[in-house]
Amino acid sequence: MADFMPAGVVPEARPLDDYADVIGRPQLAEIRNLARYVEGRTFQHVNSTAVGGGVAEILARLVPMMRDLGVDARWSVMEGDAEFFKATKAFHNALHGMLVPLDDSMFDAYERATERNRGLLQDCDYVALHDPQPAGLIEYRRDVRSKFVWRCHIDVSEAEARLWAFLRRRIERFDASIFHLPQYTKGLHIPQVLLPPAIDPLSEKNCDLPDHEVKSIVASHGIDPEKPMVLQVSRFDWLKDPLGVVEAFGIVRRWMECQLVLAGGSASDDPEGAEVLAAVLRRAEGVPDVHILSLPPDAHRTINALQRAATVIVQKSVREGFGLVVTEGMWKGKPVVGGSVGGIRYQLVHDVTGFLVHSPEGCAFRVRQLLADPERARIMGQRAQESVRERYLLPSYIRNWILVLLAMDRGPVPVNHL
Amino acid sequence: MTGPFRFNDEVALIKAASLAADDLSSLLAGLRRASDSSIFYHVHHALFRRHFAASEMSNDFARWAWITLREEPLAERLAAVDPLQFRSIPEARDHLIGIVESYAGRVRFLARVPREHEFHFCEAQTFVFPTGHVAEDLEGFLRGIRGAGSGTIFHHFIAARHRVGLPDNDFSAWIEALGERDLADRIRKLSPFRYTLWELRDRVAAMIEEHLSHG
Repeated sequence: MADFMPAGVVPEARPLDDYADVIGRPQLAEIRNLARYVEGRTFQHVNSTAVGGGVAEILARLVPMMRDLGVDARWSVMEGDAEFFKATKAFHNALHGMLVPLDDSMFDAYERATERNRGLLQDCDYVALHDPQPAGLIEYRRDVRSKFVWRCHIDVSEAEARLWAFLRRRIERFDASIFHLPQYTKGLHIPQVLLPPAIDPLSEKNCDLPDHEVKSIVASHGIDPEKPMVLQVSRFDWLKDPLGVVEAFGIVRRWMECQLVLAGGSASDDPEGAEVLAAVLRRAEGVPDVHILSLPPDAHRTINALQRAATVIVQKSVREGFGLVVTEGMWKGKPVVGGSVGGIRYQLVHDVTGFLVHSPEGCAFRVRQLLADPERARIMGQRAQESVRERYLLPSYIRNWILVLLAMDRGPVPVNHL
Repeated sequence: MTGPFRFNDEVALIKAASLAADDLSSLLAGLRRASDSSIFYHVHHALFRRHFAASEMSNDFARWAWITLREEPLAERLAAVDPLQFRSIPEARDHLIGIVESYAGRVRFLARVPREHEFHFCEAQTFVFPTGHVAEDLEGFLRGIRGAGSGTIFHHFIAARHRVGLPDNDFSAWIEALGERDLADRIRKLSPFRYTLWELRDRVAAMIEEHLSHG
């Protein structure tokens, strides 16, 4: 087991050169040239879950690839009890602007877990703490020469005031912060870098699959590979509005022969998933052609096959950090109908690379439009794929992380000659 | 005697400028207050950010005016702004301010957009570094340009205009110093509104190749 990864996580140690066919040799050379300026530096990432969820997925790739580039990167996971994860789940929802009762015991649980994990911090040149869960560890920073960055993966623009004040006191002690999108920034008194996340085009979830494998995987879940498929992939979470998707499908299904697949799982830090799944099962009772798949966290190839088999991909979130699942769908050349929120608004150029919708009715209208016009769907999917190739693939993400490290070293100088 | 051509790469880290606009009046205020690197990001960088969609507006201000503010006449005028016509960023800023000011003075009602649809000013922190390719002559230059990435083309062909002075770019300036004025001129005329950075690279390489073959 690699000692630079959390226990049980296998590094996806793919050489950067493997990406040449996807992004081209010049872009690879750019990353290698840039990496020379941070070669040999130590860089620790800390988050709160080793498996499940977008953060864990990206760290499993980012860390080994940074090492491949000569950066001594490592990843640690903070430990917490049920009380801590219950509190941070409530924090997650409250940061997204949901009305969630927060009480002192939750803040106490957070501080106790932070204190218990203080030994996790290593003396590194750079430390990245991901999301609110480990942010409190900044209080235990030992070496003032280390540069600390807070990486925010969620939309905190409408965060609950008391909670944000609690976090802000901690976050403004970092050297820099990173947000997915400009609208998520919070007027902090530290640099606010904009860094959208990325997908790995060579991972099991995104690599090319032969048609026969796609069909066989789809059929093995009782889905008809020949019937038009509307797909939403996401963990069972109220913020992803799975009930709204079932409602939209009901409208489409009245006049179009098609099937709905809701495929999801739940991350280890999300105790709410089972409750949402039960509600979706109840809502879908009696609606024909609805397939609800509760998949394990490592069902990447299955998700890949479902996305490739889909006719239209839906992501009808009511709140969204960035929505990497939208990026995945776009990368597969599919038209995506997405809720007009968060990172989905940023990724989908309405009527060019996808459709933005505001309601189950709007979702139904656009899905029906795409099912009825396959040529339009094809062109939209093609543009979506090119958009992802330019901006949201792992090699660009790694390059941008190197720039973050350089920017923390150099301060706010607009033009830097290395 | 002309020195060697050293190929550089240019990449940018994007940061929030903590400045937002929710109507034409706050857009104007933002245009006045934003840093030069912010104007550079929203106008120059934007030109090459959305080549996958030809129907897209060429700069961020035009796109926001079109899609969010729904001020189509303003969007059309902003979309026609050519970032390469200006000698400096302040000149580009003044031009944008002039367009928005004159339009805002003529409209009867200034629409405001909700918070989630605001225009957020960003800025680019730029990093320039050598690619390692050095050309002593046209043959070497051709090898360098063939292996160049989009950041190299952006640096020498687009951003260079602010360094070298209009209407030049680093490629043409160096090639002209070699005594190849016609070739330099033909490269100067390549339109960034017609080609992506990758296509610009391929066009420059093809022109040099053709020139060398007629040697």
